[in-house]
Amino acid sequence: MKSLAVAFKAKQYVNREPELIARVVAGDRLAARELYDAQAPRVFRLAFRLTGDEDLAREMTQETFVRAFAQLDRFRGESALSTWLHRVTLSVVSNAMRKVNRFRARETDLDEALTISAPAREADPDLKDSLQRAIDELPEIYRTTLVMHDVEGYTHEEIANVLGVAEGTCKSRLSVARATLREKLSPFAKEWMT
Amino acid sequence: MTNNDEHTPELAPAVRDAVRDYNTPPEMKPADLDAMWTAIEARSFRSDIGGRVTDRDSAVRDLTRRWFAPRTMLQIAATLVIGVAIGRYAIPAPNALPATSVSRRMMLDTLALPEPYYSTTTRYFGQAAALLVALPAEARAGRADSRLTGRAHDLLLTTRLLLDSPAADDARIRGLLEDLELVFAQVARLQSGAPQGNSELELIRQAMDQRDVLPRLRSAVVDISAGDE
Repeated sequence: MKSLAVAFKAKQYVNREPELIARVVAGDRLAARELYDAQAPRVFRLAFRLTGDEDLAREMTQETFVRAFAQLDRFRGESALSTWLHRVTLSVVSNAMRKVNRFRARETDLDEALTISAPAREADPDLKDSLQRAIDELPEIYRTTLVMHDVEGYTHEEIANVLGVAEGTCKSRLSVARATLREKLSPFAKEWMT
Repeated sequence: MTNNDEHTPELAPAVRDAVRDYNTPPEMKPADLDAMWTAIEARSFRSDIGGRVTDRDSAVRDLTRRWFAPRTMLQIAATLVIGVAIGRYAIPAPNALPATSVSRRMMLDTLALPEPYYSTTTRYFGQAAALLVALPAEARAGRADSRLTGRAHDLLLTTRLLLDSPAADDARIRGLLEDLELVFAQVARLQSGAPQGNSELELIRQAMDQRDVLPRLRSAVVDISAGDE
């Protein structure tokens, strides 16, 4: 029954979405809150999947909606609002992560300089950690495609719309991402690939 | 998961399952959503259309910050009892005519509204005062019911219409309408029966008191009536 109620609510929202967008453009905060309530959980999920950091994901969710509300009058309805919002999310995450990664790289350099005399002790790499690291290390375009498709369950069509690329490009990126994972996880092949 | 194309070889089932656990997001609670919304709301809605910043929007934003600054809450609480008492019992008495007359004379030329706006504004102020007078009792009872939020929403829409009408040409009326817009916006988005809604209701009531909204509202009603004479 609960899922029926959720589905009914979602349908009601979809029917009202154009009206809500028009009201937000006219400055109606209540309509904006309604749009936000409907879309924020998925935006947050995507931001968290891509950043792995709750605080960052929150900041990026906020930034996404601030940008989206500021630009909503330019939304022409050519794609679903969620597609458009996720495009904004990816842009926000991408910009922010570039800064975060530069900062982390500097921190790592500093840590390495401080511990240069200590011999590195290789711990037994946990398989799950290895997978996590392998995904983290994927170039952004492949990681985004893999996360959206294999982790969050977007279709190729949805990803192509969000990223503004052809579906074929999207499939090819996914293929490269999976191949890279396979290669990086090959030491665990017996355990994982069965 | 949609892995339906032969050009994209699947991952091994165990890996595929493990991939789904990549950066598993925490569950979003309503309080988390509210907290994020507060930040978004503060940064957005500084424009009437499309994100353009206006003086009015900046003022409203500043006002919100000032109103809900935690350090002012204790001061407000201290003045609250006196404020509410004055607000409730200072009904204009027949023998208070001298002060009212001065006030009326001063306002005659500035608050004389054109007829279509006069009746709308007068009716609106009456309804606004009724809701705001009821607010302390609702807050004391810990009640933020849908009737209250529904009325606030209706009044919010009227406030915005009035802000864009000649009724808001007068600086005092405009200032009052902007304050009322904030109050109604806050009340309208309260969740019925939610505990945080009750504490928010109390904050709204305190902020309203700090800004002398109710006395200014009463004064505006008197002044508009005088302008019509």
